[in-house]
Amino acid sequence: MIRVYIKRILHFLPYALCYLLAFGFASICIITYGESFIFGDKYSYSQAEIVLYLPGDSEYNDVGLTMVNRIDSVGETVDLKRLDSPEEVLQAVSKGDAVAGIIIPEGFAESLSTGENLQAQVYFKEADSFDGKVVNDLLMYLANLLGTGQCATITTYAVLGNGEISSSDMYNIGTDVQNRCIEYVLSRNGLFDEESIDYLSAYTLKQKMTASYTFFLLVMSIFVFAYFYKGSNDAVMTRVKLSGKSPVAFFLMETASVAVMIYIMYLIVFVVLNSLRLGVNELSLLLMIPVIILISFVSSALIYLVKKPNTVAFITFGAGLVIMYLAGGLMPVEYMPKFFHTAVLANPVYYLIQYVLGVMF
Amino acid sequence: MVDITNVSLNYKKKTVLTDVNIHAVKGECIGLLGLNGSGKSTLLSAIAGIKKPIAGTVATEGKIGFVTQENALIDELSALDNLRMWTPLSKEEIKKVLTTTDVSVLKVSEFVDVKVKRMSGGMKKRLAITSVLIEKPDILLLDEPLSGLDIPAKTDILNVIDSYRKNGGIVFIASHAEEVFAHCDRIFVLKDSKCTLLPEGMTVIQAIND
Repeated sequence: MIRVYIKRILHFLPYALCYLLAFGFASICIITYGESFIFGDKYSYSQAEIVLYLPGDSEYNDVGLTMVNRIDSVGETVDLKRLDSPEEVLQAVSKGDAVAGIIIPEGFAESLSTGENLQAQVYFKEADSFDGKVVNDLLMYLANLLGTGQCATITTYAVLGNGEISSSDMYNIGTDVQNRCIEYVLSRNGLFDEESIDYLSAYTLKQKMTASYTFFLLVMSIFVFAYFYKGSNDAVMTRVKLSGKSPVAFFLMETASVAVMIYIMYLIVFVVLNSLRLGVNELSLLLMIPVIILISFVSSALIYLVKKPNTVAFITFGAGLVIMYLAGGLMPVEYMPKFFHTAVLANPVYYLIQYVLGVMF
Repeated sequence: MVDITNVSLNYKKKTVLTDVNIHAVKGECIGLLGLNGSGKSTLLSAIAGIKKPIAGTVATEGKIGFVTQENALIDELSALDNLRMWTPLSKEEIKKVLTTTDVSVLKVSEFVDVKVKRMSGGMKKRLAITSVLIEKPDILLLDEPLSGLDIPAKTDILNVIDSYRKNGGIVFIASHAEEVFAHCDRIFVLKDSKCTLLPEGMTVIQAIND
C-alpha cells in the first residue's frame, strides 16, 4: 500500500508544482520588487521626520548632532530637523508634521560627565500606527546620542589634556564618563518595550516578507491537496471500513502524503530563494518539518470535515486570506493599522509566521 | 447469511424505511426496486454496517463487499494500482486473478495500466466491481451497477453476478434497470417507507408505475 501511495504522490505532484510555479512566481515578484512598489524606496520608506530641540549654541550639541547625523543607521531611518524651541517641537508633533519630537534639556551633554543623567524627552502620538517603528528608530537615535556622550568624552580629553593632569587620571575620568553614558542609555531603554521591537527589527523587510509569503504559499496549497485527499470521499471511506483497514491509519497515510508533497514544495522554495541570494538557513530544511506537519494535519482535518474540494478552496481563499492578513502574513505587522498590532497577538498563525521567520533567517 | 429484522432507517433526519424484514441465504440474489429517494442505498448501507438503523437489527455473516454509486477509485492511479490499494496481492498475483478467475469476465486485464481519469464510465464500473470482488466477499452489495452502461458492459456485469452467486455468494442489487431483476431470486419494492415483496404476476415496470 505504501508503494501505491508513493506512486500517488508522484502522479499528483505535477498539480502541486503547477500551483507552486504560479503562486511562487507571484510571491517572488512581490518579495523582490514589492518592497519598493508597496512600501516605497528602500532608503525612504522608513524615513520618519523627527523634530529636535537642542538648547543654546553649545559646541557639544553641534558636534554631537553632526556625529549623530553622520551615523548611517540614523541617516537612513530618521530625517532629523532642528527647531528653535520646545513649543515648536510639541506643535509639530501634535499637527502631524513630524512623527516624533525630541527635546534635549539644558546641560544635557555636560550631565553625562557628572552623573546627573538629565533625560531627553521623547514625544509621539499614541494613535500613530507608525509608533512601533518610530519608537524603535528613536531608541536607535537615543542610543546614538551616546555619540553626544562620546563627543563629551573627546571634549573632556581635549579640556583636560593640557598637561595639568596626569595621563592615568585623565584615563580614569574618560572611562568614568563613558560608563555614565552607557548607564544613561540603558536606563532610557527601560522606558520602552524594547524586547518585541528588537526581535522583529533584527530582520529586514525582505526577510519578513519572504518568510510570511513562504508560509502563505504552503498554507494556501491546501486547496490543491483537497483534490488529492480521499478521506472525505464517502465511497472510499466505506471501502476502507469494509476492507478492515483503520480509518485513522488511512487519515494518517493521507496526511503524511500531503506533508511529503508540501515538504517537496518547501525544498524547491528553499533552492529558489537561495539561488536569489536571500540566504535561507539550511537548518530550516529540518526545522520547517513541524510546521509542515501541522499544516498537513489542519488541511486534512479541514478537507475531511468540508468534504467538497471546491468548498475547501472557497474557505482557503476566503477565511484563509483574512486569517493570514490578521497574522501579518500578507503585510508586515508594523505596516498595518494600530488596531491590528494588538489583534495579531491573539492570532496563533502570527506566532507560526514568527517561527518560520526565525527558522528561515 | 443476511438477516434484516424490523429495521427502520433515517436519511438526513427523515424516516425513509420502516419495518423492513429480509432474510437472504447463500447463493441468493435479492433485488431492491424503488424510485429515487425510496431508501435503496440507505438499506444497502445498513446491511454494510455503515448506517445504523433507528430500530430493528441487521445481522450478517461473512465479509461484505459494497460497490457504491460513487466509485471509490483514485483518479491518478492505474487500474492495477487501484486494485493494489485494497489487496495485499502482488502485481503478478493480481494480473493472474484478473485473467484466470470469474472476474476475468469484466475484462479489466485489457486496461490494467490505464489511469482511472482516462477511463470511460463502463471501464470504471468494471474496475470498481473487480476491486470489490478481488477481496472475495461473502456478501456483495451493488448500488445501481448498470447505470450509464452500454449493453456489452451490462451483460458482462450480470454474468459476473451470476457466477458469483453460483459460488455461494449473497447478492443485494439496488437498481432501476429492468434487466437486473431477471437475475434476482426475489425482488423487494421500496415505496412509501415500506419494503414489500414484488407480488407474483406483477412486472417490474408495473411496480414502478403503480
